[in-house]
Amino acid sequence: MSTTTPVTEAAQVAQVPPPNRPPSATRRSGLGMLFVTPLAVVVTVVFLVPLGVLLFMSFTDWPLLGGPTVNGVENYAAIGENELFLGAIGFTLIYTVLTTIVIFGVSFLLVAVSNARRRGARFYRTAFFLPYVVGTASAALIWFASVNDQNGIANDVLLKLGLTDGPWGFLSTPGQALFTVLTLVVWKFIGFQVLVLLVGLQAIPGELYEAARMDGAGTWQRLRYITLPFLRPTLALLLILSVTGSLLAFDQFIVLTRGGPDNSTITVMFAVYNTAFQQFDLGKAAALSVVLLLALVVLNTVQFKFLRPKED
Amino acid sequence: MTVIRGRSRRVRSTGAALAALTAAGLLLSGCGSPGGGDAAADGDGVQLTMWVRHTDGEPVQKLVDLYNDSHDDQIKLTVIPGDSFQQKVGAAAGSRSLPDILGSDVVYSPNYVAQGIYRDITELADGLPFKETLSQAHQEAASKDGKVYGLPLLVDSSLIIYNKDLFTRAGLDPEAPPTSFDEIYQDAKAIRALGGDTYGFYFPGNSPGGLSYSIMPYAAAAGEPPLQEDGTKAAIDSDAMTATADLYKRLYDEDIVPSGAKTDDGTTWTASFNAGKIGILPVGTFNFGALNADPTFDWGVAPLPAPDGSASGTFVGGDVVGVTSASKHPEAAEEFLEWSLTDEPQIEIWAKNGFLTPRFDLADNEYTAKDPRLVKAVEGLKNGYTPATLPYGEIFNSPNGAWLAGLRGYIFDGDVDALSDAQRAIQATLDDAY
Repeated sequence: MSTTTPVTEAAQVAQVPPPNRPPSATRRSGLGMLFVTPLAVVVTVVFLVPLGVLLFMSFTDWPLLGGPTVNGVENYAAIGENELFLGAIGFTLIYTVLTTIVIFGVSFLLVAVSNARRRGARFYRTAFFLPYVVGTASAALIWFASVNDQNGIANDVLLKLGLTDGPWGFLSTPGQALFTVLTLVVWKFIGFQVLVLLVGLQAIPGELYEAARMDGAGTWQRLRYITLPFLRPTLALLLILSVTGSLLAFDQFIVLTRGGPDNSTITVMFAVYNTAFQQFDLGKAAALSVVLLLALVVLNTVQFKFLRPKED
Repeated sequence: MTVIRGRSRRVRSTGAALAALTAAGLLLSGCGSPGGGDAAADGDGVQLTMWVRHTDGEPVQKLVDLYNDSHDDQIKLTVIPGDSFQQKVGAAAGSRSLPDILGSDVVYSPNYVAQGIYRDITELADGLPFKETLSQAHQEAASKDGKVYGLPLLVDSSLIIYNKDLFTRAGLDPEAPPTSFDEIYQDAKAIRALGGDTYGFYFPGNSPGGLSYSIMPYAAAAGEPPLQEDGTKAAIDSDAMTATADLYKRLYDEDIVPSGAKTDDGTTWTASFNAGKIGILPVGTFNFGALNADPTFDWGVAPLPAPDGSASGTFVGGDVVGVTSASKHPEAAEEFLEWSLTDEPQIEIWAKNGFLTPRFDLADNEYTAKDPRLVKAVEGLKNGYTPATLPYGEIFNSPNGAWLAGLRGYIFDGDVDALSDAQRAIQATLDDAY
């Protein structure tokens, strides 16, 4: 959703009807409604209806096997006792902050490498982007097999390099498990980040840099006064995507760590899944989802407020 | 510039609208197609659908193949990974798209019976001439209020498998497997003394189901099963369970168990043993097939002992099969169930492929009799224990449940209160369910 906002704003500007021609505008809006109908149907079927069902579910006692019985706000009241969910909030926030920082840091480096006009820059771009086309679950399975203590290739590599004298235990402690997930996430998602940043960079007119250089601006000044301001919308978009994506992280955890070791890597989505499909309590899971949805709406609103370009 | 941008936007939105229409069409047609059961088969027979959880060696596929070759009715089998079995069945039950025939882990069947997923097949079951010799644990798990809802499909049981070659090399008697916790410790220690990457003992320390299967029988043999009184009372911090956790902790702390045990979620449970690097492995009959297929060393079996060695036990696991209440061809489905218990499939599919026969009157068949280890496993079944309770999956099979947390806390983190914490949490879940 968030990604479309800049486009929508631009569209609004472009679609201001020319003055003095109100009849035509009315006719066109009728036609417009017609064009919008298919999308409206899709949005209703795949978004609004499920949302309604979700809201209804959250007010019922609904075991996975069996029918619903309405139980008021009991599910919401029970959230305070759900230790798995409460614990997951802290972990998810830590994970989100770490992932965002690491991905931004690494992607700046990679952009520097692949934006340069030297031989092989294209090769690097392709190489960075390739992992992005692998599904998260498949990527997590690759990692799962690679870091196995008994027959994983990652341990073999560490052994051959002399960095460890036994299996390193990629998933054996909470810290190591988090580290392993981070390596996966960086490998998997960095390509998209690099690509978007490159597009943003290359959209900055070269004349600006030339002019700045003529005026005697140094590297740091060019970065501070040209590159960063022009990249601002791109960075804002990436930040929102990264934060929202990390807060909803699930696939990599269910496949790679299964919430372990000792329930130390359970994200909020994982807790919702667990409530629905391990404890078979759809009502409580729906209530958690509603709370999560509200939290995300608030968070994204705040982010938009801070990241919107300043009106000069 | 503006014109071009405007046009390109219009083109794009037309494309999007088309894509949306296509997607809506797909959605609508997708909603209409049922989970199965009513497709007409070629020929006179009906087309049946069947789901079963994954078992190594895919024995049920072989069973279904034999049935399809010899009958007009055809069965389409879907094998579901054990991890996602409950979710898939739950979702299908909610959307009324269950298959005609559903094979389920025996520990889940009490819940499925209680939820009305299975049809009443009491008449069929009572008419079977060999009813008395069918696996008792399976029959109990699939019955409610005197009515029968399922029949045994697959039987496996947990036991100790040990590497006779390593026993000999360590100076132990290869014909004297350990019969108490002291002996397990001493033997495993002696084998670890061989050094290198040879270890004495192994267990999948992050696999809740694997640990239930291989640990519960110790406690059951000692007369303190972890689930008591029809699954309404838990006994996780009993003396026997504590003794078990102590043994595992000691074996792990003293490096007699490879460090990888801590993270093994069951994926590599048998890998090291089957590679000849482990002395003693509590596992199940399901591993016989793999060991027999590629025998590189001599191995034997022993029952799981009570801590003091006074008795022995086994976890009788496996699968129950029944006709679902959603089936449109219940008679045809019942016919398959009845056929599956006849001599030919029991002997030519189960026994021949190294599985136990759910019909114990066939236990001394030609294939089983050839392998003394299978005979021993069959004998052990009389001390069998099958834990059953409604929220079994949530407590004992969930990687995020209290059972695994308690054992791991005690064994790996040295938290002496971990088992009593688990006892409290599990009892609370049971109280909620009953």
